[in-house]
Amino acid sequence: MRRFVTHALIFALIQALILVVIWRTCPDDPNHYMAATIDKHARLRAAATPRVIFVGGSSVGFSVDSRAFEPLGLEPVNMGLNDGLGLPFMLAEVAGQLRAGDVVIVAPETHLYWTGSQDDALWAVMQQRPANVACLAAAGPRELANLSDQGLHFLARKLRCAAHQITTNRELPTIYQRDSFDAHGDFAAHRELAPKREQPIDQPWPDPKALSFDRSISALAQFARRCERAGARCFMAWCPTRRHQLQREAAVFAAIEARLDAEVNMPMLERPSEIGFAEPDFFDRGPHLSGDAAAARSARLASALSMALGDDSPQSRTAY
Amino acid sequence: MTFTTLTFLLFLAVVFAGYWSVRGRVGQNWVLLVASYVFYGWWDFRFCALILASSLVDFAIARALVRRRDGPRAAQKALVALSCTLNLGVLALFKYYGFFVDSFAAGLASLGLAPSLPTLHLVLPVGISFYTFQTLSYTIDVYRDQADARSGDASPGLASGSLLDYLTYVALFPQLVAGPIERARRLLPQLQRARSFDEDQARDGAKLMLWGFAKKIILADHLGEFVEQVYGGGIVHASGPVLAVATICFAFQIYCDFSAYSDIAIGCAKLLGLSLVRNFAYPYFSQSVDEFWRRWHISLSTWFRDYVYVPLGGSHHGPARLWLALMLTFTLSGLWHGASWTFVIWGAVNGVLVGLAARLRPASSPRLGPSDLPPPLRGFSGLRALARMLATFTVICLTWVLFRAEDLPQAMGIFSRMLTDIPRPAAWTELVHHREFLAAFGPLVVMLVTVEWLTRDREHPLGLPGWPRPLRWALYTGLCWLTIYLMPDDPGAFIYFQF
Repeated sequence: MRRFVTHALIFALIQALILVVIWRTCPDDPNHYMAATIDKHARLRAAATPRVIFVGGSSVGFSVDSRAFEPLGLEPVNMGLNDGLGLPFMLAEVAGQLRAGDVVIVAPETHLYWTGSQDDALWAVMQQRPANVACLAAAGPRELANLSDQGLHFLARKLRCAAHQITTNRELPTIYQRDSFDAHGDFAAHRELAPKREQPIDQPWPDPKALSFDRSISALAQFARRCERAGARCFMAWCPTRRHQLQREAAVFAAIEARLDAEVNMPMLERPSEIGFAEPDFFDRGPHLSGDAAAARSARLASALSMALGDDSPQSRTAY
Repeated sequence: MTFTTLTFLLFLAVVFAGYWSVRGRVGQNWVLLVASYVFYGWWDFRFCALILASSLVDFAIARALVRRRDGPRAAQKALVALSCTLNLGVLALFKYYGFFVDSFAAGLASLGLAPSLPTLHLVLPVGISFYTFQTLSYTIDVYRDQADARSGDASPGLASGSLLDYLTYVALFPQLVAGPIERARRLLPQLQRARSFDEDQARDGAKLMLWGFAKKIILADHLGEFVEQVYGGGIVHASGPVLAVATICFAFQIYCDFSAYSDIAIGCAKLLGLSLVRNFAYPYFSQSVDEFWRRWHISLSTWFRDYVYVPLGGSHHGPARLWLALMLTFTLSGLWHGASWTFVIWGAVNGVLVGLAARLRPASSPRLGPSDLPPPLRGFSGLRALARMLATFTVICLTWVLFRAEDLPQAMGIFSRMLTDIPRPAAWTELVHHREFLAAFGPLVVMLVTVEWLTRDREHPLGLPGWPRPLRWALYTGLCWLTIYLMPDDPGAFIYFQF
């Protein structure tokens, strides 16, 4: 037994050394898009109360212009990064950091109401900021299990990346990186650029009867209660959607909207009927609004938020 | 929990440490039982309740059989019938209800009726077909033991185990979800005594697991991507030669996938001091279809032989009864694989082929079984044997079309397209579109066949007796990292999970 275990440990040590070599060959890119999680969490902790915190995937990062919310007297913190992180993780990122007086606007990508996280996105944010494991644990044991299940695939990608680094050192020009986010956490590098003319990602969704929204609705309801206990106010918004898709998937939107109205204590700042945008309003193939469209949409959201907050808004309080 | 995940490797390390750190049968079986339920509950914890209920029912029936050993025979038969009804009823409910309702509705619709039949949306619990067969065979074996004991032929050993031993036998995690289907007579005695660590067995187990991982990830998953491109969507869009190549790829995909699962399961059990039954014995080196079925999924084939074919009369009651037994056995085996007419027909076709192969085999040709080595290919007889192997492989590939096709129209379309296209030179040009895949994985398949042929006298090729340790470790390390390197982003689940 001892001999077997010793040999197994030596063999494992050899593999660990190889792993170290691979890691050093393919070091973490400090300007990787997912490395923005470090800045977002730093801002979430550092921003003075009261804050307006935006929760969602990359659609929130790209399609919210936080400057529109500054006149409300709230410190914007845009946590939007990647929809692959899944709704439970996104909510858990913020849930532990809530303070009295905060305002939270949750605007998940619509498919997140029935889909979960993607392991490559989760592994990427863990790699960039290992402390994110606490958010993952808070999101539930299933999230941790999924992450662990996909560990070998992450290693496989790392290995392929190392092989790629050895064979070529060509850098691809891209704006999708960490320093493209501004101080609020908004993705800002695309604001002055002309929209790309790309074929949008447009796959028809399943029939709403075949979809289960239970997990996400339950997570949102729980988050709403958490906000209430912390003395924060939370609101729902929607992911910008191409008009033809909004029309085609009206039944799915209606089903989600009905569940949210009935089961989640979060007032809606906008309704699905308001989130349809024309194709030229989008920057790329994802649900990412161009600079002008993001500014217009954010102004509308800020106005709705101002009305929802009413006399309780920090702005009105400072006016007094 | 799937074998090809980091979670499983961590889980196995913890189980290994816990298992060997406790002493005695009871402690070891408790570790195995808890580990097995965690392993199974990883998919969905509700599945654990089903397997526990299924196990308890059969344990209770077995105990009742022992208590009533000297009672009327009819009461014993009633208990076995109850076990069969409950086990097969659960299987029918979860796996076949939709199939039978849809088929019945389609039958009525063809008569102009439009019935409104009740539908159920049930999740098929992973591995239900495997452990149901295991619990069912336990009750039948206990019944047979009691019958033998009554006539003084054997001691009633099987039913004497404790509930802990029995639950561990049913749920044993290495073989729980996709076999090998273990018989109580073989596995239960191993669980009824304390296991001691055997270094050679553990080493061999680790190597067998590595071989399994390599086959699954390097070959099965990548071949599967190509096969899905060609077969996916339920329509016939590729040319005949591409369909033929995809079918050959599927033959190797399903072999690498399923034999890999068995290798990992057997290797894992070896690490825990347990021996599981061999499930594959180089089936593609078979020289006839009946030999193929003695080398392929051995634990299922022997299960059907012992609990369906032999009770139906087997070969002892004339040709008509033999054909009936053969056809029923293979058709049921097809249905076991999946609730679809393609599987039923696949089973029936194999029944016909096995029957014909057994009848047409020359008297001089030996009847090779799983423990027989595929003979060396020397001289003219070697050429003949090679020709028989290739012919058998071709026939088996054709039956795989039925197995892989999404429905019968697609299967028929594939046969028709292959028949009409293969003689047309122009149709072969479509293969050019897949040249990168074929250039990468064609040589790997050839390498697999060569390695397996050269090492067919062993259970797996990684034993490497006589190789110096540094060289062996270098090979294991290389295979390990090649496997990780080639792990696809979207890995395929083991094919037999769906059964």
